[in-house]
This record gives sequence, structure tokens and C-alpha cells, in this order.
Amino acid sequence: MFTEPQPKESINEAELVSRLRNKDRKAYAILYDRYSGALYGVILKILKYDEIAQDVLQDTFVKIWKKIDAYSATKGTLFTWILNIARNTAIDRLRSQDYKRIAKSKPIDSIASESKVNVSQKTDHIGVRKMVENLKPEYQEVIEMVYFKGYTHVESAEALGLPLGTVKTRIKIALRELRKLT
Amino acid sequence: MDLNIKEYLESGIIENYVLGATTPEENRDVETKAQNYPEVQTEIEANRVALLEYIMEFNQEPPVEIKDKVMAKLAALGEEDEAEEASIQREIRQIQSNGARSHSLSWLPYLAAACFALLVISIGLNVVLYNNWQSTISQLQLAQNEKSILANDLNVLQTDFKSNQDELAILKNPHNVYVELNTTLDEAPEAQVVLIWDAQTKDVFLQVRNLPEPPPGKQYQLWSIDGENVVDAGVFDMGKKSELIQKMKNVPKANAFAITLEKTGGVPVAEGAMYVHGNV
Repeated sequence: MFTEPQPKESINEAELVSRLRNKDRKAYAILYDRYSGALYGVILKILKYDEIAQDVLQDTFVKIWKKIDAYSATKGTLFTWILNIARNTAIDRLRSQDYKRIAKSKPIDSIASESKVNVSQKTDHIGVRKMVENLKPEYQEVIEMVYFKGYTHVESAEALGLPLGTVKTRIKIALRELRKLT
Repeated sequence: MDLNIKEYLESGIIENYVLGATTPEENRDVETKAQNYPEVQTEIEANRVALLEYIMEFNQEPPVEIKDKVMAKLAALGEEDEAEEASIQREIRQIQSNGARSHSLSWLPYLAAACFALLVISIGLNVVLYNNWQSTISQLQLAQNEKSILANDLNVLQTDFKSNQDELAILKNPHNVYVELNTTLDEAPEAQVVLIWDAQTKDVFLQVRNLPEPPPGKQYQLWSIDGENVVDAGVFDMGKKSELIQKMKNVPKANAFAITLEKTGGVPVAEGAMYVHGNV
């Protein structure tokens, strides 16, 4: 059963949100402890470079501080909301001229970054990445395009050299496969 | 709107929506369906959970020092807010105590503020100069647009002038028969229209003195009455045009005139309410 990241001391979400709105710094520290791993993981997957990802992680928390009044429970859970902020900030950076320049001059050694990921896993998730290890590459590929690169259907089809319909179907099956793995 | 739910869930739109591949329009559609069909909402949730679980597998702790950096940045933001709050409080207190100052060097902070302000102003001026350059270019474009709008206005004015001259000619015509059409409707007690009938040419003109604006889709229609015959004499406009003298259809013979409210474009046989009537 999937659960969002939970800390040892439990503080219910409504109370956390209220304290965040009051700009209670301890509440932001709790938020960081609870969610920074998830956010950093996504940001790093999108941007690949440690330094840039760390920069964007900081930007994300600053944005959360500034925009917290815009959050309401009707929009979904706090985690989904901050995850969106992280993802959007990272994708914006991905599209910046600055990033493109860096990407050209410093190619990523993908094998090196993969092994790094395994090493710094949280201790309660040792080794097992059930879904990543079991989802077929073509399905991980479309998720990479749409979720981690922010591509549209059309852009994905172009990037993968596939017809539009195939992309849509692949996305459908990718999510179905994920559901089977939960 | 009955949805074939099974088909909808099969179509893949929900999976594409959850992943974020759909257009804003498609999103709105899915969200509406989710509100109306709990099965759609459930399906969305199930997909979301699965996707989140996958994303969470990329979880990675950032370096320890990042937390300090984040907290420092938030602290700075917090201080900014507090400083603003404090300075507002200070200002309030100063105003309340009527600015009583006991320190001889109390002008120092004001001097510092003035210097800072000068620096800001000089930076600001540079920005302004640059902006002025930009806005001059766009003003030129605006001026050109205005020119063409003015030219249009000029055309309209000239047309108005011409029609005034025509009106004068009509009114000065010695063969005119004037017929005053007065109200026949309780709901429009002030209604009045003046009709001008050229005895020679049989041209008919009217000028609205007072008529209520018709609702959309309706238009006033003039009828000439010759004994038992009621003959259509044309429709006319309200709004701005009603100030002018409007030419109606030619009427060879009539002993009375009336105006009714019909649908736009008029009708062959009068159906609507009669607003004014007058005998020749």
C-alpha cells in the first residue's frame, strides 16, 4: 500500500499547513525533513546535475514559503502541491538558456549517476525499487518524456519517432503496468 | 449527458491526464467528468497513487548542508517581513507621538536614507531613460493607429453634416403635410412621432420625438391607413438614428398613420402593439 513520506513524529496535515501559513520556521523544517528527499529525487531526475538540482531544491522551498497562501486542501494534498512546484521549477530550469549551455559542455556520465542513486537511498527503502526495476523500458521512456521533461504528446512523438496514437496508447499501458506493480 | 463509463475508462484519457500529457481543454473535460462520475474520480486517484509510488522510488536525500541553506533563506525572508512590519510600527508610533525627537544626531538615519534614495533614483533614471526610448517607439505606433481612427471619425462627421443639410431641405419643403402621431399605449404615455408627407412626391419622412427603445429582435413599423386598408410604410431605426429624419416608403393615399412594434424587419400584416397614431 502506498503512503506518502511520513516522519516519526506525526503532525497532521491541516495543522502543518496552518503553521506554514503563519511562517512558523519550525514547520518549514518539518516540511524539509519530511519531503526534501522526494523533491530532490524528482528534481535531480529532471536536471541530472547535482549542483543545479540543489539550487532548484532551494528555490522550491523559497517558492513554497512565498506561495503557501495559494494552497488549499481542495487542490489536493500538500505533498502533491509542493511536488508540482518542484517539478515545474525544475522543468523551467531545464528549458533555460543557461542549462542548455551547461548541458552541451558537461555531458552526464549516466552510469555514474545511477550508482550514486543506489548509495544514497533512504535506509527504509534499501535496494528495492520495485517499479523502476520491473517497468519495461519503453514505458519508463514515455514517463520520462512527459513527466520528467514536460513534453507534450506531440513533442514526445517527435522525440521518440513514433506516431501520436502510439504515444497515447503507450502512456495508457505504462500507467496500467504501474498499477499492477503497486 | 450519459457517459459510457466503461468506454471512457478504456480510452486511456485518464492515464494521459494523470501523467500530465493532456491539453488544458482535455483536462477540464476530465475534471468535469470526475465531478459527475465517481468511477472516473476513483480511476484518477488509483492512477495518481501508482504514479506517485513510481516517482517516490527516485527519492534521494540531498546533501546535509542544503537544509541549512534553505532554512537561512527562509529566515532572511522572515526577517524581511518582520523588518517591514517593524518599520510600519515605528512610523505609526512616530506619527502618534507627533515626531518628538530627543537625540541631536537623529537626522543621521535620514541622511543615510536620502543618500540611498539618491542612488536608487539615479539607477531609476537610467531605467526610465531606456524605457522612454522603448515607449517612444510604441507611442509612434500608437499615434499612427490614432491617426486612422481619427480619419474614420472625420468621415462620420462629414456624413452627419451632409444629412443635416438634407434634413433642412426636407423641412423647408412648402408641399409638406405634417402629421402628429400621438400615444395610443398606456405604457408609453410620452410617445410621439412627427410625420412629414410630401403632397407632391408622396415621400414620407418621420422624426421620432419620443419612443421607448425596442428590445432586441424588435423594430418599429409605420403603417399608412386608407379607409379600411392598412398598408406597410416601412420599418425604421431607433438608437442614434432616431434623432434624424428617416425616409419611409412612398404613400400615395392615406387618412391616418400609425406605428406598431413588430419583430425586426417588419411584418406584412400588423400584429404588435400600436404605440402612436395620428389623423392626417
